[in-house]
Amino acid sequence: MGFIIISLAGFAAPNWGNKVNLEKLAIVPVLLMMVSSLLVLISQNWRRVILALAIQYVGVFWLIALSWPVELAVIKLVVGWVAGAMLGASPPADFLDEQFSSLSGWIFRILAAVLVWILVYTSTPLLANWIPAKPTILWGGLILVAMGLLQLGMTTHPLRVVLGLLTLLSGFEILYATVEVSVLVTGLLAMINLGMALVGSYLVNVESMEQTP
Amino acid sequence: MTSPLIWIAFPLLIAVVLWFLQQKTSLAPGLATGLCIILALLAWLVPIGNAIKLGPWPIEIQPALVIFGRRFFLESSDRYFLVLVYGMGAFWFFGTNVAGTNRLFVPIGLAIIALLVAAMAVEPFLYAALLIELAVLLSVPMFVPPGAKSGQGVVRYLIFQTLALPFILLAGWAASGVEANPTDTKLLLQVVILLALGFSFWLAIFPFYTWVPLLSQETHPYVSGFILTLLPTAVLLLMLNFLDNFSWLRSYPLLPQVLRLSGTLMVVTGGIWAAFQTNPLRLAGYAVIMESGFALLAVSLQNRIGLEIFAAAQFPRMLALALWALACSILIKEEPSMDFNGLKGRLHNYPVASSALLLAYFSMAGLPLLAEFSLRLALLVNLAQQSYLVIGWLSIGILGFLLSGFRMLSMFSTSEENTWQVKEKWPQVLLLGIGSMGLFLIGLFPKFFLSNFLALLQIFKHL
Repeated sequence: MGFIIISLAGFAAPNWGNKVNLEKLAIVPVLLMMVSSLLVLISQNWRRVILALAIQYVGVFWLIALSWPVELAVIKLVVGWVAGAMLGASPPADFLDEQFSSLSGWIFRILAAVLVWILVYTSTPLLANWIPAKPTILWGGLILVAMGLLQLGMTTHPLRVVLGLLTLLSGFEILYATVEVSVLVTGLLAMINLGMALVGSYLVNVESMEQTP
Repeated sequence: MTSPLIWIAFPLLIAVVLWFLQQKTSLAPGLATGLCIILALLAWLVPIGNAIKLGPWPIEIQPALVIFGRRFFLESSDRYFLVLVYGMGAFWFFGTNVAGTNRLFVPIGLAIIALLVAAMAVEPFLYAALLIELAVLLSVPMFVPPGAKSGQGVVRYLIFQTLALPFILLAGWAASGVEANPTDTKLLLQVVILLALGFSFWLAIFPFYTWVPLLSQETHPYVSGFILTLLPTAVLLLMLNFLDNFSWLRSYPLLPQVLRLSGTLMVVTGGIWAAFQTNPLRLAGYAVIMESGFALLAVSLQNRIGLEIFAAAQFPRMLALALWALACSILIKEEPSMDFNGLKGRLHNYPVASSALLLAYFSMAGLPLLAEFSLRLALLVNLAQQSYLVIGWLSIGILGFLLSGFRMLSMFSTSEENTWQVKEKWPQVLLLGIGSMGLFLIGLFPKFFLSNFLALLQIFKHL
């Protein structure tokens, strides 16, 4: 899916990889992340959620590529997809969130997400005074941070919590990439993302694992 | 040979080896204990950065290791920190079999210690946030071993500890801006707020501490005791490292008030909530919250005495928590719910474990003749010179905590049967006995036992 999106983006911008074009199309990853993070929040189907997470990381890669060299930014994409694969490899027995599976629950979550987007849009100029980055980067980063927090506030399911934390960390990484380029930090953040996914899949399956005395 | 290789890479390697030896339930804890003792002794005896002669061979431990352009630096002044951390490790791993923890405790515990040492060693030290997060992620399987059910405490622990990471990293970046332009008061305020939020999440400062009692209740007492001793100690030392490195932060006018308010809130709310608890495991969580509060209050004094109280309190705090965790690990086998009603009369059939638990509790409450009394008294006397109001509030918290202790004492000693028996096994009696004696001896001779821990302050050159 992510590959298709990258290809489509490449089709839309023939000079794919050229930083200038990535910048011109910077609103695309923001929209991608809005939709994918909303899907992660509302979907009751874990496969769709993992797919949405993979798309989300395409957006993360795109926005980070505006601040970092593409070859370094691509680490975020690879790590994100591996994290998604780790979570996808361990399907949870009870992913359905009964509290929010009804229509009213859906509407509530969507409305909450819309409110978060409005809040992000209005607070971006404030953040721009402090973090020297383009508005699209700030929107993308803040949307993921806010949607991650929203997810964390609405669930107690371990897998959903880990998805919320991964979303939050992705948003932070977009913002942090504008101020810091360090191979060690990139490596450690990659380890944290993978570790988080591993913890998520572990917590989902731990009860059914062989008991240790 | 470099010091980070010896005290970080080598234990990490051994942790991997121990992972494969986890089936050998006697060998793995023994190896981990032995290694921790050797590393602690090495840190104590061998200077870093100076050549020494080992028989005919001259050896020199270099202090720095460079990885991806960043330095891991452990110099001679860090030796006492290494002694403390690896001493703690030896202490906890030694009691593993007696406490009956899961097999993952030893390998993961050793890796966590190595990561926390790496967090103290990394330069720029703001990257410590990433290493602490790795340690937190590693600790999850230790809390929820295979076959167990994951509860809310672990999930909240993961959330709150992870939330600290962005704040600390952003604070680090902004701090470099303040270094460049110290007159920018707006930026300074932003850094202070970011740091305050980051450390609040890490140290479970009010109101972010709901996970602490939950985690203590849900997980094995020995495992939660280990993490709740080690993690706050490392984070508090990291906080002092921040203060040591940034002069503008040290001289920030609101810093003592903020630290005092946070510490007081933790002691008061922790103590009051503790008064309503009926489970010794949850009480351990509130005890940890109060201990962190007292540590913040000691730092808030912003003088040498405050720092000495902070450093000297590390050992009695660890001893009391370890004793508590060990006693709870023994009692929980008989009474899994660990409710006060279920523990009624336990003093009659588990006299050593019950009295050790009570002694540890009252030591943390600061009762006279026990380990933390002299330090608590010194802290309160020094705080009283600054504010009587704080002392009044702290007394309420301490009273609440004591109240629960006396209820526990009454429950433990109330029994319809008048018979006495010792159900603990001899290794349990031995360890609990040594720990209880330790609390008494430190209480009676605090200067003799605790003055060595003041060397820990050598890490901080500007404080």
